[in-house]
Amino acid sequence: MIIHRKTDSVAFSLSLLEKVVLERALSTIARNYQVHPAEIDERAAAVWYSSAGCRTAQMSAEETADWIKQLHSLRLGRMAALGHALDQIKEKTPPVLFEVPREEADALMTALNDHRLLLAAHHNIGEQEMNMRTLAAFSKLPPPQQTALFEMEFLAYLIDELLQLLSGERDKTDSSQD
Amino acid sequence: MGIETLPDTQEATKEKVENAFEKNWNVIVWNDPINMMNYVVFVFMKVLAFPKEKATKHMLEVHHNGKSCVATETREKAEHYHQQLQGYGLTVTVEPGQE
Repeated sequence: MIIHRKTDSVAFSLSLLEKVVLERALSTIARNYQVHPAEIDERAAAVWYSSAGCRTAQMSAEETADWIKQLHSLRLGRMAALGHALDQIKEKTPPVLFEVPREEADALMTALNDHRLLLAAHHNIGEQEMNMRTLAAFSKLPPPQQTALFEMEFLAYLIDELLQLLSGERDKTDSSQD
Repeated sequence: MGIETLPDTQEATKEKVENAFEKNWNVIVWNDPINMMNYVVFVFMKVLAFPKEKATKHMLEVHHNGKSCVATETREKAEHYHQQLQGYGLTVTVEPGQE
């Protein structure tokens, strides 16, 4: 991946594998965001729409339902950014240039983070797996867990770049990095 | 003629109003192994308007102690923070504080 950092955007030049992984992630997020919280699978519901905090806040069933509905609306509010990102990479051949303007960075970053949370939940990835530092330990994991960890790491890299764009904590001049 | 209210109703309403305006609800953020540290700092700065140092301090508290109380607010405001923080994927609860 090659990163082109600009003042008000960040652009990623993606290889075929990176494009495939990102396209799959974005499509999955968009699909899941459109599912009503009551109908989403159990693990996704536990991660995205947990009502544990509502119980401790002593909210009534009606208040909780309304609160979850608003939480779903927050997620649906990220659909435009997801759509713009998907449009840039769908049916493109590598190297695929994928640019994120600052105004869409927050929504896209949070959506990618949501997907990381979901991957972890679906593949039982916890502290132990996240802290694996040796190839020997990593290679002992079941293949689906290894793939999920790779995907999470890739998304973390993108999130880190988007965070830098949002926080303005980088050289204001245009720069590129492999 | 003035409108009279039953004493019980009056008391209950008074209690509800007082409760609603009392800054007695703690917003607790819990540790999780997936959210990145710099992401959590960003979220605290964005949602709670914390300066970077304060956001970092609370993120480290979450990381080392398992949780951090990031705000003590009215119930309505606490629920708003709860929703915003959870919208960013953090694990959050709202708990009544000590009287």
